[in-house]
Formats: sequence, structure tokens, C-alpha cells
Amino acid sequence: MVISCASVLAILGFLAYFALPIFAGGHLGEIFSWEWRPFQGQCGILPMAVGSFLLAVTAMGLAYPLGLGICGFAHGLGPRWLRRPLLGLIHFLTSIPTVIYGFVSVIFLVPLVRGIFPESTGYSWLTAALTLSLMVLPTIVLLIQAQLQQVDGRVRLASAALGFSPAQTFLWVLGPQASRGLWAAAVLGFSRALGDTIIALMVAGNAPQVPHSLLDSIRTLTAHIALVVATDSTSQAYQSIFASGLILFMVTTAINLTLRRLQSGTRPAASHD
Amino acid sequence: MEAKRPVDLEPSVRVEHLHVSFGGREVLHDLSAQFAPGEITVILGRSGSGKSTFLRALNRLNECFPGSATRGSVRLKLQGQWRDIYREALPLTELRRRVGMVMQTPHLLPVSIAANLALPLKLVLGLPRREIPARVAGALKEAHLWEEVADRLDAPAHTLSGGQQQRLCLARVLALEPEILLVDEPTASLDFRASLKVEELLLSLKERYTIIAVSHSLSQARRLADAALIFRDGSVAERLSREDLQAPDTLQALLEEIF
Amino acid sequence: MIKRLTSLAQACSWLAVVTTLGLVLLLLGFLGLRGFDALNPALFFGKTPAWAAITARLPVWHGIWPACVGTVTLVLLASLLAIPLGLASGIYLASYAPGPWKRWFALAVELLAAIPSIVMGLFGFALILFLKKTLAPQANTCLLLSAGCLALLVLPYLILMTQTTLEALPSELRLTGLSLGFTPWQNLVHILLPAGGRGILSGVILAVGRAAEDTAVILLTGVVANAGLPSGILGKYEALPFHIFYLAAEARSDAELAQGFGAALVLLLLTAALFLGAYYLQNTLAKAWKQKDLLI
Repeated sequence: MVISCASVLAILGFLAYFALPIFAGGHLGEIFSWEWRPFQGQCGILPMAVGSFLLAVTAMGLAYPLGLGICGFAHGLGPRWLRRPLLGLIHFLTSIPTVIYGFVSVIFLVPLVRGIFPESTGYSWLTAALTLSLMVLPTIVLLIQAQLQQVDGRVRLASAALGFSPAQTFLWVLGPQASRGLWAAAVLGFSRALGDTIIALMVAGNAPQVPHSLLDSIRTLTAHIALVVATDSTSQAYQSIFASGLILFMVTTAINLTLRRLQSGTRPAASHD
Repeated sequence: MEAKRPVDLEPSVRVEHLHVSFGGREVLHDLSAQFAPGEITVILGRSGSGKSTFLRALNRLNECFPGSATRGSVRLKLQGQWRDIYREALPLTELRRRVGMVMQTPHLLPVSIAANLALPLKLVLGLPRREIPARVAGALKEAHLWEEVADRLDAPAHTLSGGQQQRLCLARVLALEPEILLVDEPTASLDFRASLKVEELLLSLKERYTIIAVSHSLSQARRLADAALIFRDGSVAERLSREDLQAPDTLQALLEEIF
Repeated sequence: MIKRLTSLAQACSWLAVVTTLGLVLLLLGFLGLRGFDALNPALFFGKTPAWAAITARLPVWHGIWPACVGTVTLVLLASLLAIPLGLASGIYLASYAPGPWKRWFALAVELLAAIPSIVMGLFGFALILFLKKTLAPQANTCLLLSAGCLALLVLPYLILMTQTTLEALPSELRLTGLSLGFTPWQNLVHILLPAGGRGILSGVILAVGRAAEDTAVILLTGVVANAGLPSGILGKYEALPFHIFYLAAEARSDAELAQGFGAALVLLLLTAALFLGAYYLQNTLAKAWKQKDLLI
């Protein structure tokens, strides 16, 4: 067991070690710039950072309300008998490979978007956001669901005894009580959306630019890493992907540490007789 | 505070200046007490007064909870020898076998009736397979359970009634041949009739063991106890003899103290 | 007013559920219909006779057989690496042993869980660059590297699943064994692990499913479109998710597209089977354990 601990710690250290040389190299200014022209020595990754952020935010913007709706449905807004099959289905959705969402999107959604907006190629921010939102939806639902479940046990009987209907319990007791957890679910979902590679790579178009509309093509940090590795580029381009990796790593780490701090404040102390 | 009573028996458990805390919060505070073999000592007190923690200090089970710290001395007479369990290197497993414990609710292993007894025999005592059945039967008889379960030893243990389950737990402890029995509110989850049966069993066992029982029923204490300790805020507030317990005026005082 | 709000919320939740169900049906239906047509021996083996392909006597050119074998090998190898490590770590975290390292270790596991899979792949890629420059100039991305990175990816799932399963066991179960004089090890092997077995096993299965579907890691660590059967753990290989990814971008004919659908359906069936297996275990092993005498 000591070995397993040591190895996990070692891995984390190793990851950090590989990313650090970028900052020692003195190319910081070049990497954190807005232009990506590797053959002219301009390897800015800021457009990709913006792309990652925008895509994750829009995907969450679409998925979160849906997820909240589904959880509300399962917790009193919908009929009780539908609850188990619905949650079972959502659970099942987590097992669908990401690449399949991407595949179906390429075959089905991309031509559809192109058909509706003829000026677009179909490979766009919009397409990626739609696909990604469906992909993160089950994760979000399960996160919210876990939070609600915790509160549910505590308040169900009390509010039923007060004569609340299940729907009222959800809206006026459960939801507000779990609000902190709901935030946590949103942030974790965001972090999941940020980490996705395949969908962005397959349907977002991958043009290294800051998009002006939902129909523009965008490139995320994750897709950027995959693209540069695939198309053997200059050494500076390689540096840019390590910087991208480090940014992703730091953002997800920061999110996690923040959430950890939030949660440790709410944990009840152990009691002893 | 501590009323002297005639010591007719050499004690087998001596606790001196015991402090137990969890995560810095002291639950037991400078507690001293003695317990004699052949007697049942009942510990009474409000919930939160440290009764269960005290029992767990006697077999070092507090150490299975996060953040526990223990000071003071607990000496037990095991196999005719005094052992200071917090200082001497008595193996933990040996200690817990010699100091048997039965908890508030029946803590069965989710296996058959026989396996509940056989598994500890095999693992803790390392008995060879062929000796186990006799030992199991012996313990079940000692716990007055044999007639009720002899024909269904392989049934899942959770099919037993609550009282039977609790007696099964006692049998499981007895099978390991302990010298001291710690009994933590053994009838808390049982109805009156089942409680009486467990009490009967404990009375029949007291000849051979030192029994320390936690209870929150005064009437139960009066039926069982040779002596009683009243716990308040993590230490012994009062020690009562059997006669004290039967006297009506102490009873009134006790009722106010505890409830 | 209250009534109005309530019904409004109810309507919204219905809308959310119906929308989601619609989208999911669309996704699965589309895939199922198009993929089902492609599901035949030719999908797997192309024009090579099936038996010759399975026994690896003849190479397969226009089928997904090599990709299937690649994925299975990859997942087995990754499991081999991750499962012992994951279980041991999870057990360590679930024990009350007050080690000074424990808190840091728990934090490390959480951070590891948060790392996006592409970063894990990048790590593997960097490792090879590093090896090339220093110890082994001939080092290259390969099956073993992918398996290692995938193992890292699923390791935190395994650890957390083992830990939460063991911690969710009633505390009396833990105390019972100890109070009878079991050693912590006996308590673990004879009581806690059997009691938590179903949870841990389903965690293992879910982790396997996760390893089978991931594309981003292998994209950077050695998967290629045309490698045939994997030649060894240091060779390149094909994998199903990558094959689907590749076909989505590069399919030039209807036949190739149909193969993409077929491959997607096969992968979906695989992960779905793993998921249902885990689900089944969670529901049934609990009962089995209660009835049978698994402990002795």
C-alpha cells in the first residue's frame, strides 16, 4: 500500500515536472499571445484558451438547466414511478463512449447545422456545444442527484408532515437546502466539459481563432494538444502543448481544491458516546 | 464520593486515572474504578456520560475510532496475571479475545448461525476444522441458545429473532473463552420478554466471568447488579451496592440523577 | 401564485426530461439503425475468412477485428496495472490508520481524478520524449505506454470506489471483527472485502469500461489507423474508439462510413455490457453474500 501511495504521488510530481521547463525557457510571452502561426514562430495559445472556456461555458449553459430539470423531475416534480427508470437511463448514458457522441454528431448534426446556416461549414462552436452538452448531461444529473439525495433524507419526512406536496418540497425546501451542492455540481460539470478532447476535436472545426459567432470554428486547448502531436511540428509548437496541458491541469486542480475547501466546511464532526 | 463496600472478592479489573479523548475532546475524565469477578457491575448514566467509551477502553476498541487518545492505567487480571493493557505488549487480538464484548444491537456477521461462531474460532484461535463444531455447540449451550437453533445451524444468522441474535453474539464471545465480559446495553433493541431472557443468561454466567454491563434501565440494574457505578460527565459520580439499589430513597435520588 | 410557480416548474421539468429522452433516442436510434445493417462478419474480418483471422494466420485488411483485439489487449493490460494498485490504495484510504501521509495521499488521488484524459496522454507522450533524449533513444509510443496512461486515468476511480465502498459498510461490521480479536488483516480479508465485494467489483468493471472508451489518451500514446494485430507490448496497435474517430474524419466511401457505424455500435455494446454487468453485480451479489457462506 505504501507503494501505491508513493506511485500516485510520484505521478503527480512527474506531471508537474514535465510542464515546468516551459516557464524556465523564457518563451512565455510568445506562448501567451493571440497568434498561432507555428511556421513563422508564433505559437500563441490564448485563442485556444478562450475557445476552451467558451465551449465549456456554453455546453454547461445548455446542459445545466436540463440536468436541473431532470433532477427536479426525479425529486417530486414528476410522477414517482418514472423516477427509477429515468435515473437508470441517465446512469446508463454515462457508459456511452465519448467518441460515439462525436461520431453521431459528425454524421448527423454537422450536416444539419450546415443545412440550416448555409454560410457555415457545420463544424462550429454551436455544433460542439450541443454535442458536448449532451455528453456532460449525465454527469451533471448524477452530481446534482447525489447532492439532493443527501438533503432529501433529512427533510423529506419533516416537510411531508407539514403538508407540502412533493413538488413544493423540491422547490422550497430541497432546492434551497442543496444550493451549495448545486454550485459544486455546476463547477465539476464545467471541469468535465473543459477536459473533453474528442468532441471538440471532431466537430468544433479547430481553427485557432477567437470566434465571433456561434457558427465560427473554434479550437480548444485539449484539441490543440491532440492536433500538434498528430502533425509533427516545430519544437516551439511542442512547448505550446505542454503549456496547454499545464493550464488544463492547473485549472482542474484549482477547481478541485476550491471545492474541497468548500465541502470540508460543511462536513459534520464525528460524535462519540 | 465513592461509598466503601465490603470487598469480599479480589478485583480483577483496576482502572486508575483514565482519560480518553477524541480529537481533543475529553470524553472520560480521570476515571478510577474496580470490578470483581463473579459479579455483575452495571454502569448507569445519561447518554453522553461516556459509558460506552469506558467499555471500549477496556478492550482498546476506542483505537478503532479516528482521533482517539487514552491516558491512565487499565490493569486486568488475565490468567492469574495482572496486565496493564496500555503499557504491556499484550497483543491486541489476544486482549480482545480475553475481554469479550457484546454491543447494543446484535452485530452479526452476515453469514450462517454456525459460521458466526466458527469464523472467529478459526481465525482468532486458529482451531483445526474438526474441533470447531463441538466448540460451537458448547458455546451455544452456554448461551441457552442450543435448543432453539440446533436444527438450523446453517440458516442465515439474520433469520433469528432479536433476542436470539443477541444471545448468539454472546455465544460467539463465549466460544473464545474470555475472562471478562463487556456488555453494552445488551437489551436496548429488545422487547421485554427477550430482555428478561438475556438478563437470565447474564446472571447464570456471572459465576465464571467478570461482567461489566452498561444499561439505561434502572429496573434492569436492580435485577442484575451486584454493584452499580453512576457515570456523570465522563467520570464515576457514585458507587452503589446491591442494597443501595434496592433502597427506595436512593432510587428516587437516582431517578433524578439519571433521567 | 404558489400554485402557478409549482406548475410552471413542473412543466419545465417535463420539458427537460422529454428533450433529453428525445435526444437520447435520436442518438441511440440513429446509431442502432445504421449500425445494425453493418453488423456482419465482413465488418469484423473484411474479406479474410473468419477463422483464419481469429487464429491470426491471415491479416485482416478491411475489418475492425484488429481494432477489437487491440482494445481488448489494451484494456487487459491497463487493468493488470491499475487494479492491484487501485484496490490497495483504496483499502489504505478506507482504513482508520492515522498515517501522516494519508491526507496528502487522499488529496493526490483527488487531483489525479480531475486530470483531463488528454493531459494524461500528454504525460505519456512527454515521458517518451524524455526517454528518447536520455536513457533509450529508440523509445517510442506503444501499447504498453497507452496501457500505463490508461491505468493512471482509471486509477483514481478504482481507489475512490474501493474507498467509498469500504467506508459505506456499517461501522459495526468493522468493530465486530475487531472486538472478537481479529487482526486488522483478518478483518479486511474475511469481513470487509466480502461485504464490500460487489461495490468494488462493479467499480472495477466501470473502470474497465472507462479504459475501453477513452480516445484522447491513446491518441497521443501510440494508436494508429493501420497496424494490424498488435505485434507486442512495445508495438503500435489499433483500437476501436480511435478507429471510429478516424473514420468520422476520413471516411471516403459509404462502405467505410457503414463500417464506422458498425464499429460504433460494437463499442457501444461492449461498454453497455460492462455497465449492465456492473449494475447486475451491485444488485445481486449483495443477496448472494447474505445467503451463502462465502466467508469460510
